[in-house]
Formats: sequence, structure tokens, C-alpha cells
Amino acid sequence: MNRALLYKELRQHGIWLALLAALSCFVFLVIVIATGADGSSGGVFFGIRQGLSYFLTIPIFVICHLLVAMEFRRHTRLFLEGLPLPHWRMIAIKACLALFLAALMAGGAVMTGVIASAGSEAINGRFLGILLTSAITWAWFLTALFFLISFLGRYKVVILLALIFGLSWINYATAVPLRDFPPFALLSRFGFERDLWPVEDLQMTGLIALGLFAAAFLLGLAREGSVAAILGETMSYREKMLLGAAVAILFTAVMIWFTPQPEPFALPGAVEEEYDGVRVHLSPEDTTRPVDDDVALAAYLARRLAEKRDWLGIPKEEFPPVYVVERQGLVNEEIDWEEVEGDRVVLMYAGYRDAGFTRDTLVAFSMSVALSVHSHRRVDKEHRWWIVCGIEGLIEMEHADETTRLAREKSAYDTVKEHGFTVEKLLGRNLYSEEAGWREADAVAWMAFRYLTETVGEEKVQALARKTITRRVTRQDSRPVWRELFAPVPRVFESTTGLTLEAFVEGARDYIITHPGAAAPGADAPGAPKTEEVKP
Amino acid sequence: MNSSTPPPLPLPSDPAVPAAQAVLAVTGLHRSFGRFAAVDGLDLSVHAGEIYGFLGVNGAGKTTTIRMLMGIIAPDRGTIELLGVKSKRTTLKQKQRIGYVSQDQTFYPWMTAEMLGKFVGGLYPTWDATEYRRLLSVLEVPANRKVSGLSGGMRVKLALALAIAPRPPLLILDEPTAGLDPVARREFLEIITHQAREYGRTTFFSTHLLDEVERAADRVGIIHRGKMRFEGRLDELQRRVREITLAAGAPLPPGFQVWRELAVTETEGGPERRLIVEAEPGAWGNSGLAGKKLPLDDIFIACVGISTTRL
Repeated sequence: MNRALLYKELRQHGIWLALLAALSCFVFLVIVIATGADGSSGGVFFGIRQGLSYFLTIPIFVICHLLVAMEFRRHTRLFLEGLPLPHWRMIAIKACLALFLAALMAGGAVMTGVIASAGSEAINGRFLGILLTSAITWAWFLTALFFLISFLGRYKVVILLALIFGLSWINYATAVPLRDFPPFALLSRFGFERDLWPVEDLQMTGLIALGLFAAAFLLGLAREGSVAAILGETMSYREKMLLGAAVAILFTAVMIWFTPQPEPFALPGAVEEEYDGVRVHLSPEDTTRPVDDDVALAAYLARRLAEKRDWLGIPKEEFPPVYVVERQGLVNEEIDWEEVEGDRVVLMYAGYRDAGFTRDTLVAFSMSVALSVHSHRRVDKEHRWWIVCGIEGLIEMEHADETTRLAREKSAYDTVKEHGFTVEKLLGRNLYSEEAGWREADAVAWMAFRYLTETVGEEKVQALARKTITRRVTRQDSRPVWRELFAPVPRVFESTTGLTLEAFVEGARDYIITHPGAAAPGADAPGAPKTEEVKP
Repeated sequence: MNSSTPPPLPLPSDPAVPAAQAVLAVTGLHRSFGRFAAVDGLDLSVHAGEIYGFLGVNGAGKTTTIRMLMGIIAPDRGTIELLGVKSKRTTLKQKQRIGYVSQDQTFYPWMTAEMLGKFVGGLYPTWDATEYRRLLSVLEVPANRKVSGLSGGMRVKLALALAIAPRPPLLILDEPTAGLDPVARREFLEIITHQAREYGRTTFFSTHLLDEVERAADRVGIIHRGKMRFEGRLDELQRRVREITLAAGAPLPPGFQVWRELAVTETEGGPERRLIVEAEPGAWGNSGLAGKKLPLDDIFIACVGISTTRL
């Protein structure tokens, strides 16, 4: 019986299903080429993630439409009802086929990405497993959703439109972090999460998909009376237009009238200093002690950040407020950070009364997080993060003493000797940080930018920074995606500095190896343990 | 003029066929859609090897009854006994022993007869592929032409071939000849008559065409507004229901029921009523009323209570 049903489905839709699968492979291949091979965007898996999020919905919707809606529309279901065939089995075969094809496409997309990035990404079994399970579970969620929608007959289009508009509205116009909830959470860390299985997200997405399938089965098994009759009908063109227009008007009205204004972030008891539009809030741990030092630090921070903001060409009104909370006992330069309030402020934690604390490190890190917040975290994930790190290094070491500078030069030397320094490592910044340690990778970036400044001049470095890392991005803004595709960083780098990335990396490597810090005592001895935590 | 529906006839028992041999028996079947009772306490029985014509006007409840027999919809009340198994709703195993031809042939248009055979054959354990090919050949249905390219008559023949190929003991046909031209209808009826006579296959078919029933059916059940009005042989129906002329005001003999009052005419002897009445065949002899034998279509119209005067 199963074989007969499968035979029927494959004979009926085989050509279309094969075409869809082939088209999906082709599109994912294009995505991989566009995002990976020319070094644009945020790496191959960023492209795959975008493909899974947006493109995959189309073939899965069409597959579900072919398998389910066509059966109702052509009334061939009446023929099947007369046969000795359990209705649930017919639906189950359709569901299984749709799930199989969805898994095939999602798995194929991931494997295409894996093959394409084999030379630049550290692919291990765990990472591959996380990628595959996330992609396939997401694809199954889409299948369950569209499978259910396909049973809704004449209401299908309206419900689909309402769903798209509703989700878009929640995502863009409200403070609800949709990407943090399953099933969307499965894709928000896709390609970045290498170690932790998103168990809760997988479970929750699986449950949602099961629920959707259960609803689809209930609708599919309703064969009697008005439910089946209504579901079998299709909408007229006029109905579609009218309802589509109604949904669009409703959506627009909701967007205009009900966009909530976010509450301002507050740090009670904080010292506040402002310099040329940069506001810095410093919250001391002990609120009873005098705050003169805190005020001085806040003022210094505000002044330096304003200075660097202007150097980078960021408009005053766009620079996010900076909040620093005093916290003792932090590792990693006594500074930590946190993402809050939908990326609207820079929130840092710093043990700024500790002996080893340096103000310029806090300035550099604050600027780095401010650029990340300013770009809505895009700059961290794309192939331009190394530029932020380089600028950060220049800021941090601007007033450093000779000993500190030599120590960092040595750190860069050790890192290059041990882990190498290539274009892939430059662009795959996070991977390089994981491999070498983030402070070590920062040292390399600093040295590379010193080399760049000395080679092409500060003006060109400034121009490069302004073109690549200072553009404001919001959640509503889709321009960065196109910028990644049509103006990739390597191209911008070459046009701005006159150097190719290859020549720059080669020159920087020689510069690091031959620099005075390399000759410091113990230069060729094994280096100190690498820093463990990864910077944002 | 009385256009109300006459009371149903008592269902006569057929002494020639014991009730135990009923291939299909339905008791107190009821199905409503909202407040509308499509089938209302229906009883019927079809005996082994006979051709049973299920007669009724459009909307009488024929298709709803057949959909319940096929397990497509569930009855609200009543029981169905199919092939010796009594159940509330027809099971999958029972369906595998029934050949079914629905009112509309909603086959997959892209399939050929051969593909349909392959698909449908996978659902019947008793499917006989050789028989299916033979039937296609006999019925002159091209095996390799897509369904979309077949005429209405061809599609019905194809449906019949699909229904017969599993060699089922019972065939249920829901208005199979609706939409066919007279030649195709005649041909189709001959095929099912032949199948029933040659292979002893019990056949239950619904129709609203009286001549089909006259031509093919051994017994007939007349359904109207969801209720069974008559079940028995057609000749018996003609013996029981006749037209009489009675002086106005004269009472009917005991055991007679008026099915329809046709007209009141003025004569020299005073006003007279023309009536269609029904009585047991024995009652006609005892009453002294001769009664005029009626063509079946007149009886059918009287049975379902349609007023011709409105026309």
C-alpha cells in the first residue's frame, strides 16, 4: 500500500520535485560561491544561513502545495476515498515525502557549504552535526508549517500573508527578540556555534513541528460536511486581491500606530560624563566612597571615544551611550562586556581600580563594542571584524609604554610563528582567535595595522575604516546584505589602500617577524598559554 | 390535489432469498447534515447474486447512503452489514472486497489506464492484473492513453474495470451512467448485467432513471427524502399500485392507501375521483376493484409524491 502511494506521488510530482531539488542545489551553490569563494559576506555558512532562512521557504512551500493542495483542488481526493486506503496513511506518505525532500535540501545545502569551506573552516564531527541537525530541524519546521497551510484551501493565501506580515512586524517593530526563540533561534547562531548543541531549541522546534503536523492531520482527516467542502475550494482572484489588500493595510496600520518606543537603558547610581555628544556612565561598586576617580575616568573615556568617533566619521547622534560597571576579579584585562537591550547601548564591566588596569584598553574595547552595537552585531560576524580589531589595537597602544609595546610585538611574533598568518586567517578572524587566543590574534591585528599605517599612510587607513566598519545598521536595514555581495571587503581594501589582501598579509607577516619585539628575550621559546575566552 | 408524500410501503420479505444470504443489509441508517436528515432510518437488504437498483430522485439520499456503505462518511445511527460482517462503519478489509464506481470519475488526469491499474492494484490483495488487462481490452479502453484524453463513457468503463479487476463479491455503483449518452448507457448496463449473471456478482447500483432499473435490476429500492418508500420486485410494485376511479365521497375498502389523487371529474353520475392507490395483491381480488395497471414511471412519480399539476 505504501509502495502504491509512493509510486503515485512520485509519478505525479516526480519531475517537479526533482526540478525543485536541482534548483535548490543550484541556488545554494550560487550562495556558496557568492559568499565564500570571493571572500565576501560573513563566510560560507552565513550565506547558507540566509539561504535556509529565506530561499528554502520557497521550494518547501511549493512541495507542500504540490503534495497536498493539488489533491484537494482537483478533487482527486474523492477518487482516493473510494479505494481501500486509510486516509491517514495517504497524508502520512505525503508528509514523509515532504520531510524527506526538505531534509535532503537542507542537508545538501550544509554539505555544499562544508565542501566549499573545507580549506578555511575547521570542520569537525561535532560542528557538522550541529549544522546538519539545526538545518534539517529548521527545514522540518517549515515543512510542517506549509503542510498545515496547504490544507487550508481557500484561506491558504490569506493565512500565509498574515503570518509573514505578523512575523515581520514582531521582528522589526517590537522589542520581542524573535531570533532568540525557537525555531528562529536555530539559525541565529548557525555557522558560529561549534561546540554547544542547541538542545532546547531543537526540542522546542521539534515539538512545534509535531503540533503543526497534528493540526494538519486533523484538517486532512476532516472529510465530512462543510469543513472538507470549504477546504476543497480555491479562492477567486477577486477574493485573493481583496484579502491581500486588507492584510497589507492592516499590517501598515499596525506598523504605524503600534510601534513601541523602547524604554531608555538606566544604570542607577552611575556617574555620568558627556563630551561632545559621547555620554559615559560609570557605576562604582562601592557607592559610599568618593567618586572623583570615577568622574575622571568617565571624562577621559568620553573624550577619547569622541575623538575616535570623529576619526572614524561616525555621526554624533549615532554613537551609542557607554555604560561601565565596576566589577572586581574579571579575567582578560579586567574587562568584560554584555549585550543588552537589543544592542542599543555599550555595557562594559571593568575592574578599573585594579592595579593592572589600563584606561586605553577600556577605551579600545568600548570603541570595539560600540562599533559592534552600531552595526547591529553584523561587523562581528562578517569578514570585516579584523579591521575593527586592528583599529582597536591602534587605540589601545597609542599611549602605551615601551615595555608593553614590546610585549605585544612579541605576542604577535609568537602567534605568527606558531599559527601562521594568511588571508583566510585574516578574514576568518573568529576562527583565528579560537585557534591562537583572542589577545594574541589582537596583537597580530594591531601589528598588521601598524604596518598598514606605515605603508599606505594614516589617511588611507582612516578611509578604509570609514568605508568598512562605521556604517550604522538596524534590524530593518537590508543594505548590508547587498553591500556584502557587491562590495566585498577585499575589493574595498584594494581600492582604498592600493594593496591586495595577499600583499598586505605577506608584508604584515614580514613586518611582525622582523620587528624589534621579535628579538626580545625568549622570542623563539613556547609562548604563554593562550587567552581562553573569546571576545565578541 | 394531494401532493404530499405517501406513507412508505411495508417492506415485503422475499421468500425466495433467505435473509441469511444478504450480502448487504442496512438497518435504521441515519445521517444528518446540520438539521437536514439526508438519510432517515433507512433499511435495505441486497441478496447474494442479485442486481439491486437503488432508485430515487436527485437529492433523495442515494449518494449519502452509498458513501456510508463505502465508509467514506460515518452514519449517525444504524448498522451496516457488509459481506457477513456487521459494523458501525465499513472497514478497510470490507472495502477491499467491494468494487466501487463513484458518481464522478475524478481520476488523476495524467495517469494512463495502465498506471491507474498499477496504483489501484497495489491496494487490493486480490487484484488480478490479467483480468484488468482483459477488461480494458473487452471494454475497448486504451491502456496507454491518459485519462484526460478519455471520453466520459470511456472513463466510466475504466472505473468499472478498476472495480471488477479485484474480483470483488460485491459491486457498488453510484449513478454510474449519469452523463452518458443512451448508447453508452445501454452498453454499460449490459456489461454489469453480464458480470452479475456470468460470475454471480452481487451488484448494487443507484440511479434516477427508471428504464435502467427496469432493464437491469432484479429488485429495486425506492428512496425518497432519506426514507425507503418501497423495496421489492418491480412486477410486484405494479401489482400493488394501480389507478382507480371512485365516486366522490365513497370510502376506500380496508387495506387500501391513497398514494396520489390525480383528478376530480364531473360525470353524469356525479363527481368522480381518480386515485392511485396501493394495496396487497390479495386485497385487490377481495375488494372487487379492478384498478388500472400503471406504467412504472407513473408509479414512481406517485411514490415520491411529486405533483404534476404544478407543471
